[in-house]
Amino acid sequence: MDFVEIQMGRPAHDRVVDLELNKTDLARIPAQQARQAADRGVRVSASQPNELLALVFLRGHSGIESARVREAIARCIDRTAIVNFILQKEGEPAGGLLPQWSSGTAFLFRTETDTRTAKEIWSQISPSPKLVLGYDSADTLEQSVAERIVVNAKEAGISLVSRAMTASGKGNQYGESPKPVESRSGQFEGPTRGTAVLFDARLVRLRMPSPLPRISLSAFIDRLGPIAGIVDSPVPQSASPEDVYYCERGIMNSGLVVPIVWMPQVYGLSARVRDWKQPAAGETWPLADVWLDSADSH
Amino acid sequence: MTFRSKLFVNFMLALLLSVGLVTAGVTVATRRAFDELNRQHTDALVEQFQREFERRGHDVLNRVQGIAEAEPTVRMAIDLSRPNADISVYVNDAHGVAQSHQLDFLDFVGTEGSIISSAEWSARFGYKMEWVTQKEDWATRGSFLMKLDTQDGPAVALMAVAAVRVGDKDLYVVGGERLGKEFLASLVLPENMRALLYLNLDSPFQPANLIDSAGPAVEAERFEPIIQLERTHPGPLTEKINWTFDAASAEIFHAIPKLGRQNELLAVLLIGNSQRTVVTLQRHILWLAIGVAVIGILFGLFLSWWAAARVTLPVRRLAAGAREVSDGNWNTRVAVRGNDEIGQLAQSFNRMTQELVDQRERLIQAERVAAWREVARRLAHELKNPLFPLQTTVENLQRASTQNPDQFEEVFRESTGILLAEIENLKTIVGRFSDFAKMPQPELGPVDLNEVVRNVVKLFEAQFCAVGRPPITPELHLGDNLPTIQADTTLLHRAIENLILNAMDAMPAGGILMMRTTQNDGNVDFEISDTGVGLTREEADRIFTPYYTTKQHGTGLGLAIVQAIVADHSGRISVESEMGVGTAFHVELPIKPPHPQTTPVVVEEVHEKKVEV
Repeated sequence: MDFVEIQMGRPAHDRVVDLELNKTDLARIPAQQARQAADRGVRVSASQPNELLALVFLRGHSGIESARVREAIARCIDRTAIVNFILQKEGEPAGGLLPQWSSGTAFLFRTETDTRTAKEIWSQISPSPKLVLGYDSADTLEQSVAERIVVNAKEAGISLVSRAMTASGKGNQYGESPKPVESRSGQFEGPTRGTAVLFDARLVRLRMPSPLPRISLSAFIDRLGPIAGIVDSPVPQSASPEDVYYCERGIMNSGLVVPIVWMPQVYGLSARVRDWKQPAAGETWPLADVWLDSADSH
Repeated sequence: MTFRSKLFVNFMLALLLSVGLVTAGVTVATRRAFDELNRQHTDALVEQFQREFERRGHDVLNRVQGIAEAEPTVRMAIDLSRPNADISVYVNDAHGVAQSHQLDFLDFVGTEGSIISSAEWSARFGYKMEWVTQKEDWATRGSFLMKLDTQDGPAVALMAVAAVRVGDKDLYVVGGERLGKEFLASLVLPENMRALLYLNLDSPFQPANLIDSAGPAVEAERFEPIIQLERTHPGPLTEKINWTFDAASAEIFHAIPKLGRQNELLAVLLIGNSQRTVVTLQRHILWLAIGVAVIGILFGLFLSWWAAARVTLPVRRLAAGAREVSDGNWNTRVAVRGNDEIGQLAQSFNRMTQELVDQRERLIQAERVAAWREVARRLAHELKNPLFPLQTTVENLQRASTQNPDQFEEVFRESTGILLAEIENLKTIVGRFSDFAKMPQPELGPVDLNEVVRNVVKLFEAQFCAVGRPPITPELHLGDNLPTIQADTTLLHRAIENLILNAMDAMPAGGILMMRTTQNDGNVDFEISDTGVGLTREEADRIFTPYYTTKQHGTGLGLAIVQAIVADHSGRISVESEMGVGTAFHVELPIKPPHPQTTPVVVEEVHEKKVEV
């Protein structure tokens, strides 16, 4: 190998096409396109689910202060359908802030849909608020998930609409949009130019910075704190797995964050790539051991 | 108003009435014809629109059936018919298929009614669309209207369903077009027509649900009565909406209710037909009719004026002739044309004036003869008295010369004295007649009538109190500030003198002689009245006739002279009398006579006389 050429900012669709046409050897592809890419002959390598897509209620929203509102919405979300249909089975429903493979306690958080209970809870809320769920307009996955949540909420009788928040660029390493996040007291520009939309909640991508649950949870708290108004102190370095669980449970009990799905990092590989290993959470691409088989050179 | 003007006005009224009725009739008939034509035109267009709507339904059905019969759809149906089939791989298929077939809605629905893939609302996968699996033969059902839930809220769409059966399982293809502004914009409508659509999505009328091809309809609330009627009694309905006070802004809307599968009202199509062209054409015709009417009226005006002038010409000639006759020109004749009523009237008029002239000639002749007879009688009477002594005296002289010559000298002396006296008497009589015949022309100058009256009265003061006769008491009531008049002082003096003498003769037993002067409307009036024996009606009628007198030794010229003087001053004189009470003469003299008049013939003076007894 004489050199490695890296292209940044290439659209996901083009990356998949490049893999199909053998124009590239390695490309990260969206999880929801992994199955389709594999059906078209692309070698797909998926990591452990290490990116959380969660619904976060924004700080200062009066209507969301009602825990029953948050609980109704959390119960109506059909996570399995999102994984199966939107993510094309590349992921798993999320009940907590940490994945099962990392914390081992994820099974203690519920992921089942309970539309009937959600409907009952919502019917007890008077007056019932009209909620707005925001998503990153540049993120088609967020849009699809947001629209599905709206459908779930509608089924439960909850008045919820989805709106794009802004045409932002790529997220940071935690999957967050670089745009400032404002609470209900502030205003975001909606999809229609000049139309001011007040958001009650938004979808947030949270990528684990480390396989260690304590570090990831601390990072998540740091990121979610300004958005949702979570005031929990960072998890101490000496915290045991039990302490991490209780901290996670405390955040989940507040209802301010509703985990939806865990998604893996999916890479497409050309046929000549050899010895590719999925990078662990927080690690960079392990290209040192990778080599290309000249017999399959294009 | 002249007869010609009246005739002209009548002609014009008749003309205006006729033109107005004709114009109104033409306008009403035209409007009805246009309304009928417009109705037929609109009915045809509505029918055309209905066919277009049905064609769109067939088009949707064909596209849905085309998708159902396509190879990918059949493969999907085969795949889904397998046990434990993974439907998640098809979750995004509907979107692309819908785009390629230009459908707003497309859902692939499994045999259990679950949505496999939804083009319009992709997030609805997995949810049930139970109505699709109900017992219905979709192959023969055709297209239908349906209310759907979308991401943006409820909508109405023209839908069709096609089923793909594999084994005992069905894959339903549900597709359709949204009834919205795009649908309306795609309709081909003639000029002056537009289509609006009310989506019956909410219970009360919502103006936002009424749209046209550009979006929400303007002034949608104006359609609320139509929509409410359609909601209560769905059926074809025609209503007119006047957008402004200008009738050209009106639109006739034909409401066509669109029902769903359960005959529920889902939408109301409103086909609007602008009345601008029709109203403009009607106005054009109306203005044309008004223009023709105005020209007709103007032409009629001219013809009426001409006809009135022509018809009334003989009448005006008759009227002019009548005025000539009234002015004394009895020889007036009018031209006779034709033998109609006017011609007969003209002939009668001419005969009448001819008869008047003849009668006047005869009357003048008779008056002349009567006057000459009166003159002869008066002359004979006046001359007979002096002639008898003359004859007797001459006979005495003849007898004295033959029978008593010695006394002839004495008889001759006495007789010549008598003869001279009687001859002097004859000369006096002749002189009086001569004076009347030689009445001088008045020489006008400023005259104070009160002063004249006082001077005349002063001359008679001695006679009023003469010894041996009953006294006469004069009473003067002379008006203050009496204006001077233009008159001849001498003649006025003479006239008043004659009137006073006449009054004194009428009061042999004495009495009161009253004289009064007043001013009245440009005239100065003089009245003299006595308390004498009065006159009979016949005497009063003839009192101003020359040579007529009621006195034993009068000449009958005094009052005739007075009347002549008054007439020469353009004045009038009249007499009022009552037997045993007295007589009053009223003289009206103009302050400024137009011009001195010569004394007319005696007969005419008689006619001007006003007699009140």
